[in-house]
Formats: sequence, C-alpha cells, structure tokens
Amino acid sequence: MTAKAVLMGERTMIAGRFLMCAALAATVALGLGCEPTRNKTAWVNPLDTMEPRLAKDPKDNNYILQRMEFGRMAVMLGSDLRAKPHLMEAFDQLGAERDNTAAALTTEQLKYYKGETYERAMLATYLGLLEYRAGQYNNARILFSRALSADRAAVVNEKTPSSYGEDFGLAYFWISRAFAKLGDADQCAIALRKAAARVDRPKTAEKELAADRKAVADWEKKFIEGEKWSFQTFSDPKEKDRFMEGIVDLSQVRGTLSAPPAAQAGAAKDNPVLKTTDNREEFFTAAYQNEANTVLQLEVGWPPYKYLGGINGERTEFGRSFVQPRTIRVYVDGHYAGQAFEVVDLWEQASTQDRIAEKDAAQAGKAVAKEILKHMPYVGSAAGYWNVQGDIRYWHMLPGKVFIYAGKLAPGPHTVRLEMYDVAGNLLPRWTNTFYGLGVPKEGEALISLVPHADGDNRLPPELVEKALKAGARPVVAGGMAGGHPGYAY
Amino acid sequence: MAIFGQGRTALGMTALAAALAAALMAGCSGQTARMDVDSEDDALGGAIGSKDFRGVCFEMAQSVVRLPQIQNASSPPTIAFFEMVNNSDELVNAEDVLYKIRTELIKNSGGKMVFLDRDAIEKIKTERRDKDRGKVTSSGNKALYGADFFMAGRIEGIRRTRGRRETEYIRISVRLTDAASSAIVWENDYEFKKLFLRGVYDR
Repeated sequence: MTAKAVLMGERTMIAGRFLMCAALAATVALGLGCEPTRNKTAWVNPLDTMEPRLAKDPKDNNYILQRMEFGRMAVMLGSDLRAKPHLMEAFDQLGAERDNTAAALTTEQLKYYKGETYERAMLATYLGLLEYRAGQYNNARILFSRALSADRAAVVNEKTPSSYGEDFGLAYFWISRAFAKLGDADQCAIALRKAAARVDRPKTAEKELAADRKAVADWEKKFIEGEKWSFQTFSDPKEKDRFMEGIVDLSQVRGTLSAPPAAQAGAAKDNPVLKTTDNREEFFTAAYQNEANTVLQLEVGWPPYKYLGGINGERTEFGRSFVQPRTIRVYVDGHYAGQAFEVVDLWEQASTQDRIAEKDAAQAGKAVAKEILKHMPYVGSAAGYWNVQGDIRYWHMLPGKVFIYAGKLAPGPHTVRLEMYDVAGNLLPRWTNTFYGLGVPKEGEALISLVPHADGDNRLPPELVEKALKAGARPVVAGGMAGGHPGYAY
Repeated sequence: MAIFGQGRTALGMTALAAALAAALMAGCSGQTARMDVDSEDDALGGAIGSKDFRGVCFEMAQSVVRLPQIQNASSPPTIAFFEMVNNSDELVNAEDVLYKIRTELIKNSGGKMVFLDRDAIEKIKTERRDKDRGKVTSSGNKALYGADFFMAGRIEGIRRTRGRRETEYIRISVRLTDAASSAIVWENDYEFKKLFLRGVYDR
C-alpha cells in the first residue's frame, strides 16, 4: 500500500453508515452477477437493489448465502422487518436435505451452500437479536441456543478440545440476557461465564500476535509518513486546487491505552454515564449486566476469506483478515463510558473448526483421479477440463470481530464516540467513529448494532476524493474496501 | 472422418436437445401436492413435525378422557388453560399443543368436559355491558364459569452436536391441576429422539 493517504479533518460523519452499506451492497450485487445501479446524486437503498435479485428457487445453490448477505445488510441498516423473513428462510433451509451429487462428482462450488459452522452460528445469532429486540425473549433464547449448537458442529475429531465447540461468546452473551429476561438467573450466570471464556490456541495465537505486532510496526511508519504528506499537501490555502478546509495532521493525533481516559473537549455538562466498568470479570457478571440499560454490539473488520489449495485447487483453505482494532473505548456525550469487550473473533472460529475428513478425502480423490486420467491416452485432454475445485464462497458481509459494550446511561438521546486501539495499544485515529442520536429509553434497554469502520469520521465527499486523486493520493474507500478484501482490512 | 452419418447425428442432436429441454422444464417447474398429515417430513429439518405433533395430542387427549375425575364427575368439569412453556431449542408455538388437545377432547369426549375460553373474557364483559345498556339484544346473563382444573405443560429438549451428527431429544408433558387444591391429578408425557446426519458436502 502506498504511504500516501488522503487526510481529512475531523469531519462530521457524512451518512457514513449508508455509504459503507452501499459499497457493500455493490460488492454483493456484483457477486450475484449483476451490476448495481449507479447514482451519484441520490442514495439508493441497497436493499431495494438486492431483494429482487435473491434466488427464488429454494434449491438454488446460493439460496441461503444470498439471504445471509441480504439479512446482514438489512440488520446493518436497522431494518429488522426486512431482515427477519430472509434470515429466517435461510435458517429454515439449513435443515433441508439437498442433492449434492454434482458437487461430489465435479467442483464443490456446485454444492448447496449451507455455510461454515461459524456462519450458521452468526445467522442464528442475528435472528436471535431480532427476536430479542422484538421482545420475544423465548424465541431469542431458542435461536441463540441454536447458534451454540451450530458452533458445536465445528468439533468433529475426538482429539479436538471440546472447548472449541463451546466458544461462541457472542451467542453466550445474548443468551445470558435472554435468560435474565425469562427469569432464569442460574442459566444467565452460566452463560455469562462462558461468554467471558476465551479460546485457548497457544501456538497459533502466539504466532499471529507476533505477526500482528510486526504488521502494526510496519504500518505505523507508513501511517505517519502518509499523514504528514497529506497534511502538507492539502493544508496550504494558497494551493487552491488542493486545499481542504479543516484538515488536521493526524500524525499528531496520538494516544495509547496506557493513558487514562478523560472527558473530551466539549463534553456535556451532565455526565450521562451512570454505571460502567473496564474490568472484564465484572463486565461478565449478572449483577453488572442486570444494571446495564444500554448494549452496543460493535462489529468490526472482515471475516475469514477462502482460497483454493492443492494441485488442482481441490482444497478449500481459510485466510485470516487482519483486523486492526483490538480495544475499543466508548465515550458518551464526551464522557468516558467504559470499554467494549471482544466476544467473538471469526478467525478464531474458522481456525478451530475441524475439517470434514470425508469431504477432504472426496476432494483429494477427485484431484488424484484427474491427474491419473490426464496422463491416459484418449481421455487425457478431456480430463484437463474436469473441474474438481473446492468451494470458496463465504458470507462476505460478516465482521471479523464483535465487541460488546454494556453500561447504564441516563435516558435520552446520546452521541456515542468509539476510539480504537491496535494490538500495541496505540490509538488508531482513522478508526474513530461517532454515532449521533442513540436513544436510551426511560424504561427497558437500548440494544443497538453498530458497524464502525476505518475513516468513519473522516469520510471524503466525492469532490474531495477527486481533488485528492489529482494530487497523487490513494484514498482508502469505504472502510478499507478499496484495497479489496480478501486479506486486507484497514 | 465422421463415425455416424449426417442423419443419425441430426437425430442424436435432436434427442439430446429434447432431453435437455425436458430436464430444464423439470428443474424450472414448481410442484404442489396434497400430503397425508401424518407423513414423515424429517427431510425438511426440525425436530417436531406434524406427525409428532398430532401423535402427542391424540395420546394426551385419550389419556385425559379416561381419567376417573372426568368419567365419574356428576357434572362436566370445567378446564382452563394455564400455560405451555417451551424450553426446547425448537421454534414452535407451544400453546398449539394445548389447542390441539382441546379440539380432540371436545370432538371426542361427548360433552364430558367444558373448556373455558379465558382469551374471550374481555369480549364477554364488553358484550354484557352492551346487553345491560340495551345496545344489543339479551337472553339473560349467565355467571362466568370458574375452572375446576388447569391444563398446563412443558416442551423440553436436549440437543447434542458433534461434526455432522446431531441428535435432539424432545419431551412434551401436559398436566391437569386441581384449581381448588393445586393437586396435580394427571400428567402424561411423550418423548422422542431424532438423529440428524448432515451430508459430507453440507459444510
């Protein structure tokens, strides 16, 4: 990635959520084989574009996957009513028996896609959230429980630690709240303990941590260089073709987790934060959660991606998307409101999912057969056309990590600011996201899903993007999508 | 050199085209068919199918009808629903079990029981007010019945999953409680367990 990066001042979020959703919708629509409608002047609801293009036939191999993508988009846009029927339909179809003979004989891409274990778990979790928000707590409990069952299917081999099938913290967290609503305090406490538990992956986790620290150190140098270049390039009022009003030098915006959080400039006179904690142990207790009247589900980064392995691409491998934020501090109306805690990392889920031995054997068998046939007379050339590739479809719109913030806030509308820190504990100024008008009711609770992303508060309007490009900048677009997923998340 | 003559090639091509067209037609057309309500639908997923549901309700209804408290009652006892709790992992409306049992009992008990429609209480009161005010005609008010028994139940489940295998055990229990003494005068349950084995290519 170039060191040059476009820098903007701390601007108000310009319908950031919608812009990101539009970009994601475009990606998915392209994935469906359709070009999205382009409109520079008006925002088009991506759901209106996606919905008519969903496969109508439940036997279509992408029937479930398309509904997963649509449902997640609708949840992101806050449209529970449009999300639920499609997510529920996808969920119902998971249980249907489908003929995968074509996939067994040729490419796995012809199989009826039912998702990885963690994708099914996320599907049930989203549905549970919709039920919970609708006040249907028993239905929510059932769906969170189904999410946990889906996760348990990740354990296939006898030698695999059973804890790998008991680590879907997001569903455990929500089922604990559902149990609390249903008056089952014991189950609530058990679920919270499980939500707090982390996956133990001693060797792999250490390697990944070391790689992340190195990536962050490399990134830091480029970041400072790029931000300085940006500030110098776009801050001179005499250079009318380049000047951007309000620009600040983000290389000077520094902070570390070791510095204690403090109220921000312009904070509200009255502190709306009535109860909070930075202590993970306290956070995952029934006593604390019972007091919390505001829960934010923060979904960050991109999910694991897939690529082909093996001599004929017969093997499906998982790739890790680098998710920069590791710690999130939450501010409400300018006052520090506590930390959000990570409850699920989908890479951890993917990397602890056992492979299906029979499927791997079948794929390998096809690849071997293809190699043998390729060297036989008469059929050799035809065998070259035999496609035995694995399946690299996946639920693109899932996040990489999910954090939960819970606290007790004064009723009324609030401005929530999220500050994020990397693996080394350094502030990521481009990852600061502000959300306005989040309402906390006088009674009951506020449950809000937020999707913060890179440049959340620094989004450039199209005319400034053009200006920046002319000056030689390489702007990061829509939450890191310009670089293109897979494998890269800003 | 051609192996087949031109006529045979054309015939083969036509047959192939017809076969492809037929396959496409078969793939595109939907189907609707009337089914036996007791037919197996396990292939569609879910632990509780219509066969299980009906089986539970018939068994429960038969069991209730044979109760001495019902058979030997001097006047038909009154029964009100209390609650049906779903503690399983299945998304089903638990109350539907009670409704189906009630239907079977009313159909087959020959008037030996009276069910109270407590959901209609508010509407009954409104109707009475209208009758008292002369807004609608009246043939005289009757006293609202009190319940002799409450009918309630639970659906419980245990789901176990490992890899491609998943089992679900379901227990549906229904009880009749004496509304005066709180004594449980009858309880019955229905259990079943299902194995779901996912296909090799299902993940």
